[in-house]
Amino acid sequence: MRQTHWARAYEPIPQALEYRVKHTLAHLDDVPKATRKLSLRTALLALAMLLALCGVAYAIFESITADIFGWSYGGKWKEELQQGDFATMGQSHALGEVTYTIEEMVYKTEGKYQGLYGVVRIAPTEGANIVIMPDDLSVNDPAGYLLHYANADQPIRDDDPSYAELAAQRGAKLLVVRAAVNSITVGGVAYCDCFGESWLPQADGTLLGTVEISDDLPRANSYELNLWVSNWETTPDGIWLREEPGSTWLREDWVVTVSPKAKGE
Amino acid sequence: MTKEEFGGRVTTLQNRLYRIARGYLQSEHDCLDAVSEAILKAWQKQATVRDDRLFETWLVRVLIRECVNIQRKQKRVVPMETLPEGAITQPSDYAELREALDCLPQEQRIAVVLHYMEGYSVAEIASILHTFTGTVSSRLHYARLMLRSLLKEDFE
Repeated sequence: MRQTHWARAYEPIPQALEYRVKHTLAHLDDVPKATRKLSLRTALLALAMLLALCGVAYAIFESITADIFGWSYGGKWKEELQQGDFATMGQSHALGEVTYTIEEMVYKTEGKYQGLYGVVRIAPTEGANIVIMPDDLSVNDPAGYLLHYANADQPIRDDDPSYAELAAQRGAKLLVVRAAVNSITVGGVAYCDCFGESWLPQADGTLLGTVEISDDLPRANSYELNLWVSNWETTPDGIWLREEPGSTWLREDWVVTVSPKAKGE
Repeated sequence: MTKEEFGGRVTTLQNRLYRIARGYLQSEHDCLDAVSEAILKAWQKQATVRDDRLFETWLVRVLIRECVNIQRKQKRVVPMETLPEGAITQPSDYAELREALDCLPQEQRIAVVLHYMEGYSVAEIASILHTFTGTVSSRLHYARLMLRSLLKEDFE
């Protein structure tokens, strides 16, 4: 079958498309661009400093989970998550030269899509000479930017290095990293088979990842969260070294107990 | 890239972008939203495309991300193959093919849309979807098998 025949499967193209594209192109200048307002990156760095100062007490007053989901989904989400039941986290797991840390988990008790939400940070292990990047960006993308998010509001300079360039400058290995939810169980019973995740590169070279488990997950005293963590080298050309011979692919399961505490507990 | 150049390239690609969005989203409204949002994001971030020749595949990647975001935000995790009959109402001479495509698992359908419908090579698709060429080939293989059984036609 010819390409044109295949294309007809999704035709006719609606007339509204042409109007919509013209309208969008006519309003490109309306899009806030390259301004120096507080970016998520800056906000998160400030948040990280605050976290260091305040320690665990931070979770009582603010929530990195609420901040990130609020930024992504809207202010209502932030408010609802702030009212949720928090689990004191901070557990870390090292895999090769990469350390995975669960910063926070919250059971969202208010509004729609109740369930567990949280933030995982992936960082080079102390002393490791590596540059890490998420698997949904290219080695040629500028390092440390939220390229998939229109609301990131980050000016990108022409001389900002790409991931490949940054690794070359430092004489470092370039690693693609990942953490994904395998399963979540309550008392041995598995719930949900659909898990959301997003990766947010940070200016300090770490990655913040959101975890979202909201479909039919009941409130329980504790959950067994099974995460699949992995990392592998990529060449400066973007070729993943995940196949034998010479595979650099490290991966394993990491099981963490999450025990959200109801307010006042 | 100037605004005029950007607009020209986007306009040339608009039908392609719509069809790719359609591979992810079943509603015309969602597809238009995805295309529109992808264009805005691409304009914001176009300075990050270091090689102009990669603009098209980069734009497709931005669009795909947007489609996935729409699916996630709206919690539309119901795969197309389980949609009730009549969910797609647009008339077409190729309705049978469209329905067969919608029966495919999403990752196979996207591989077919990008390869057969839009003419991207297996390597380009691997780059767009951040996966291996072997994975793309495998998805195409299984998609062909399923389409062949549904449509009684060969797709080599």
